Amino acid sequence: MQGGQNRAQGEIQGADMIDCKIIKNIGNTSVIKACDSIDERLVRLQTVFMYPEGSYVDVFLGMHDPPTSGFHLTDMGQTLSYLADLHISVHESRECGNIAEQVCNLLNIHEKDGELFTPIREDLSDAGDAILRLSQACMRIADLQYVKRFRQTSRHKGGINDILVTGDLDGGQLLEVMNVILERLDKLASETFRPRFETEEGLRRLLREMLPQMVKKEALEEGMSENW
Amino acid sequence: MNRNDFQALRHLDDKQVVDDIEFRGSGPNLSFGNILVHNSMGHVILLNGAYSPRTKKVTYNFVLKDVGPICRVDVNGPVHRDKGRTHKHELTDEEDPQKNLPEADARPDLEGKTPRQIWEVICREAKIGHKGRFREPT
Repeated sequence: MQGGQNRAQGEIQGADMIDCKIIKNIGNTSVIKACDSIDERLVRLQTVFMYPEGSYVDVFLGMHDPPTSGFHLTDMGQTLSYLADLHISVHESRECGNIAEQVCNLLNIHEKDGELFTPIREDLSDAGDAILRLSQACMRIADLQYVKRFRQTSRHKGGINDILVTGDLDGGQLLEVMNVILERLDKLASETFRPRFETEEGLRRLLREMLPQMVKKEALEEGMSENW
Repeated sequence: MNRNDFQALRHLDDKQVVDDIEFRGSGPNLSFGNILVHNSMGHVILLNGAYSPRTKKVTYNFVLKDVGPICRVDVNGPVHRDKGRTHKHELTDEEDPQKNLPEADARPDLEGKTPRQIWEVICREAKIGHKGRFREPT
């Protein structure tokens, strides 16, 4: 590969334009760093791809148990376990579940009992494609880490829209957000300097749009009156 | 929580787990969660864990509620950078919990140990008393 790269670079440097035929061959690198056997029917492939915290994505190539023939590729549940360490569950959070489902649909990956997997043909002709698809799915679903945020212990002073659109609010978080919105409205009303119409109207629009859904959801869950 | 707070918590010798630890579930992994680690510093620390009977992967993960993971032991799990498959993550700065603990040290001494043996090492090193039962997964 090194010789190929030097040759390719020399040709690129001497050319008036970049030759796509040469560029295509530069990227022929394996995505598998290491392989080891778990048992006689399962091998573990350490890929070059990484979860957000720096560990490498493993995919496992397994033989079906007789009488079924063929293979499957699986993450052995490691991706959803990764999220579980962050208290993120695609089965308990509708938002996270929807995102994970979209990723799986896009990449033709299945999920069952916490395991991401895809079948592979008996001749293994599609194994490379399956490894890339499953690895992508593992990384993208693990990226839910960036979507779900732990609630901060201090009061939110800003970024309300971020909280409302990205978080799954529990009762405590809902009250905190509502208090911040109400404090902001009070402040605007008491200022001698007339605030921008858009800002106040934007906040009122936010309340009108978000409050009914938030209150109904939390009230139903916590047994509170819908008219609190 | 910063590094100093974490180390103070770690050195605290009154930490207790009173609940039973039992790995359960379907699929490739057995797991448990929401085990409270009582402590006199008033932190709400929750322990979760997972075990794969086929790959022998074991994880014990300590989470500071509403902040994120602060300590995690992985045995025979995914390779972490150059620290191998068996390593221990710890909080090194305040942002580490949000990043799911990117820093780790290799722990080859834990390789080949059962989930119970690993738990006993953790309890001894982290000064945690376990008053409940530990059911070894099969």
